Amino acid sequence: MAEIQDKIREEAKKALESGEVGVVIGWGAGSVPFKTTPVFIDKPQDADKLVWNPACTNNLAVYLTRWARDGKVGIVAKPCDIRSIVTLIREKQVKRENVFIIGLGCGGVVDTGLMEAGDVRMREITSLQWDGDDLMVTTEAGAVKVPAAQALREQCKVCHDRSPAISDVSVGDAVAPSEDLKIEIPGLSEDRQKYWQEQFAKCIRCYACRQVCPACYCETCFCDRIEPKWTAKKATTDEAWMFHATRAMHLVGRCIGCGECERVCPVGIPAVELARELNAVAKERYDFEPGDPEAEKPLLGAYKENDVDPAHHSE
Amino acid sequence: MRIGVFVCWCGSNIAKTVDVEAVAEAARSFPGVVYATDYKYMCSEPGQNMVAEAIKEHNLDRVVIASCSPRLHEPTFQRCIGAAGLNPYMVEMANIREQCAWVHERTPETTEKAIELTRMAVAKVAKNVPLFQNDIGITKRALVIGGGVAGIQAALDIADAGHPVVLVERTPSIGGRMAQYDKTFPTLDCAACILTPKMVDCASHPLIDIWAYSEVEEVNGFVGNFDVKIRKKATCVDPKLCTGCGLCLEKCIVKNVPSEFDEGMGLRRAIYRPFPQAVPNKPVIDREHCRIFNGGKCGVCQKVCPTGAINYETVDEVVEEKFGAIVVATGFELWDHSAMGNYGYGKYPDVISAIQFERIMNASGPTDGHITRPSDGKVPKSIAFISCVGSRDEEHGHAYCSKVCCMYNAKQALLVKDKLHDVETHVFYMDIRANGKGYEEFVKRTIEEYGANYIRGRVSKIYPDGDQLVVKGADTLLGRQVEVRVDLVVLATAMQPQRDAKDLARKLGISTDEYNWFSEAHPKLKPVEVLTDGVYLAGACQYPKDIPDTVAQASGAASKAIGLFSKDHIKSEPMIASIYEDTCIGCGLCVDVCPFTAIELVEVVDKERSTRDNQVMKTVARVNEGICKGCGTCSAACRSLSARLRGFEGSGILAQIDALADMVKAKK
Ligand SMILES: Cc1cc2nc3c(=O)[nH]c(=O)nc-3n(C[C@H](O)[C@H](O)[C@H](O)COP(=O)(O)OP(=O)(O)OC[C@H]3O[C@@H](n4cnc5c(N)ncnc54)[C@H](O)[C@@H]3O)c2cc1C
Ligand code: SF4
Ligand code: SF4
Ligand code: SF4
Ligand code: SF4
Repeated sequence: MAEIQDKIREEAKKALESGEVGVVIGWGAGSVPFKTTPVFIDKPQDADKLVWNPACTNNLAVYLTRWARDGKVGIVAKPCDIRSIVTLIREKQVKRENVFIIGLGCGGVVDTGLMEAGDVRMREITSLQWDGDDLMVTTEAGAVKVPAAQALREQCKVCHDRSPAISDVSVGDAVAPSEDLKIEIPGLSEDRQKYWQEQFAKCIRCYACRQVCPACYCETCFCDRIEPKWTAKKATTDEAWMFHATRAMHLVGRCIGCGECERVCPVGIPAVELARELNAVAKERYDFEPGDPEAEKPLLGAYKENDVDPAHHSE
Repeated sequence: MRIGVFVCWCGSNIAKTVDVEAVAEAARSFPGVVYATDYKYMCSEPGQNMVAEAIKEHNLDRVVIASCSPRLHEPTFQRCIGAAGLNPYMVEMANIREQCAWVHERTPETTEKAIELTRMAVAKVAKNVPLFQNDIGITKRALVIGGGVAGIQAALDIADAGHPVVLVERTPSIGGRMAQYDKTFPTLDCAACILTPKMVDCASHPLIDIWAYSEVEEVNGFVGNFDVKIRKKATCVDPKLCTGCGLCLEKCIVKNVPSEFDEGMGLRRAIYRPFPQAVPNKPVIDREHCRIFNGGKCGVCQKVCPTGAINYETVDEVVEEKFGAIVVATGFELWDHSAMGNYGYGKYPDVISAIQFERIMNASGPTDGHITRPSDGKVPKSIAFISCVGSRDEEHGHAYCSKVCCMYNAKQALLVKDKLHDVETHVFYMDIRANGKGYEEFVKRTIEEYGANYIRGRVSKIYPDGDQLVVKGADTLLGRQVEVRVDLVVLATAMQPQRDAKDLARKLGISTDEYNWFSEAHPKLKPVEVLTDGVYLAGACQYPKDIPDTVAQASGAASKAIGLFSKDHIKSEPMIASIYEDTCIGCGLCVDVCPFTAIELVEVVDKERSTRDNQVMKTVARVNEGICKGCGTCSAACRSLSARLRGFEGSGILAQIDALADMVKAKK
């Protein structure tokens, strides 16, 4: 991983030096070794601030709508982040020629929350590194191996496309897809309504989920409208239903499942599960995968003559 | 706000199941309602007068009619309140008939539902804003695509009414299929005698421009205002200099090109006109076969041309023209039956198609009207005509009946007997479809007076035996196998849409059916219109048709265009989509989902980000008001709520939902 990190820095430096891009968006060291933070590098000499490790969770594509609007920017991107970029390009929010993609092969990023459940004392971690299928967690006391199933973030467990679908330079080898670890979509269980009722009851309507979402790029979100007021501002469960259900409908075929909304939610609502559920339907009925660069049009904008008519679709 | 509510009994249609008086009574307490009443027939003249009077008397500014579907009477009541001085769009209909009275029993709940529907309409009308129609100017000039008999008739009718017409035909001459025939059923007029004068009329009409050897490339715009790009293919012959003398045709050294017009039964040169009476009468050079365009040396035609009309350097020209209406008359093509191996078409020279037989019978055809068979030039002593070859045959992709084959089978069996008195004719048929004026009588004549041997049954196999062909099939009337030996077999191959029909449909933004025939707007009531205003259908491009039906429809299409041109302006429908550019993020989803391609993305100044010295642009969607039908698909798709449908704004819909929710809550 250190080698790959060097290459990222090198490519970023080159792109900045040549003036091809004005800024490179990537991850930098966080306040603690098991966290990283988005950084915006605009001087070649700062390229060494870029890092690459299993804690590089943020989907940096969210910054593109603003940063790549008027000029070309560089972005360090995992395969899933690239799927977001593809969606943004398809939806005309970013011009392909305005992004310089430093694409990465990826073994997955970690869910520090899950690790905590194990034996690791977070505060003592000095570095994180993949060692085959295990995560090597080095602490002051020595190294511990955590099995992938325990450490990986949910979306990484089912990620099949672990090399960049599109990129300008590709750094690091493509990583073979992990064996399918299967994740559960609790929303699909029988107590679906009860499950979400409990989840939404917690929502404080801070909109962190929306802000971090690369697909939620509307300048005026429907829920910020005063007229027509589809949802009121108050943080009641009913209004939260309206917000989350509508947002889920807005994300079908567009959410690439990065899980950022779930990660940033202060009260732990797994909003991504709704989109996952809908995307599964899109896959089954229309063979559509969000972020697939081959798809010419967005899910809702494409029509094939042999499409399933949902009105006549029997389960 | 002063809302009036008018509850209709619809005779007993509504009153039988809904307590209409109770609905009116309940309405009196709805917010904003100052007057409510019920009446037997709200749409009748006294009913409408009642509404008009109430508007004056109670100073109403909004009206709710609780009656039938808005599809039926919304326009009626819009006119009614418009005449009474209100903006026509300040009326809402509560559909208490189809959505209530007709689907429920007479119970208190039914009346309750009618009250709720009315309450929702009141909530919506309270949010209505006045809407206004716009005038859109129209270009009074028509484009006719396809120069068969349909296109010719439509062009003549429109031009005779005083409007300029451009007739675009992709082959070098107008005339279409009909020009290929010898005589036409059921009257046996000589096709040329009745068609050629019409072709000449087109050529000499001061208001008709014939653009032969041309094709439509791109269509933009909307009713009254189409912008059409037309490719005029390079002919190498300057029409202004060419006198049509035909010297070049005689001297061209390439003599072996199978003639399309003769369906491969005759040959033509590389410089050619399809047939002697071609209109326009100027030849074209077929670049695929001309020596000059194939690396060879020649230039003979240029040398012999007395006026110097030939120029090998000419290139295709694409012109952009404005039209107000478009008539599509691109006709049909015939199924290539070689796909069906057991009949031996393309394999045995004496198995030919009916259209080839038309050419052989034609006095100006490749055999000068002498009926001979292709293999050895002998005069056939016996001929089998086989109908439904590929038609009514799902396996070969045409479940439909080609409609004219029974008739031209009879025509050909009759005409051939006129020329060769002792020829034996056998007609294999599935059943005889002769439903037209004089048609049944015509078939009867072929059988009774001209001795055609009609055999009911499908042919299973055709194979050669000596210099004859054996036709094997089942006679389903007699219930036995039959075998006839003949000298010539004529196949009535299925009519099918032009292979590029789908392409043209896409350019025009019109739809096609499962076979690619162009779809009319309504199978019964709008047979010449399509769902795109200003585009009309004529002839066999819609479905197999004979000449009488083709010409009738062509005149119908022409009269629609003339009707459109009789006005100087058309009114735009105000209940259409509009985009709030401030919040539109230019994602283009609405562009993708609009079934009428009414939306495009445009660049506008980004007010939010621009400063006085620095203008920043952004992409937003824009609705073409002439094309938008107000279907609302875009506003359903738009996430940022920027695509909105006037008359169906979110605030109105929400008010309806809230009203219903309040009532449901109150019940609990
Ligand atoms: C063998 C046979 C015999 C028949 N005999 C009779 C008969 O005796 N009596 C009778 O009533 N009916 C008869 N019919 C039916 C008759 O042919 C049709 O009713 C008639 O030709 C329909 O006319 P149309 O103008 O719609 O189409 P067409 O005659 O097919 O003309 C269409 C024209 O459009 C042109 N075109 C096509 N696509 C384009 C394009 N994209 N751009 C520009 N131009 C284009 C074509 O080149 C053609 O000139 C017969 C049919 C067949 C097959
Ligand atoms: S789901 Fe979580 S992040 Fe989203 S608005 Fe609710 S509380 Fe905030
Ligand atoms: S929730 Fe919908 S409207 Fe709001 S930002 Fe996301 S996509 Fe746009
Ligand atoms: S109107 Fe809506 S759907 Fe259309 S481009 Fe704008 S934001 Fe997208
Ligand atoms: S209302 Fe329908 S026709 Fe009009 S722009 Fe929207 S999608 Fe197109």
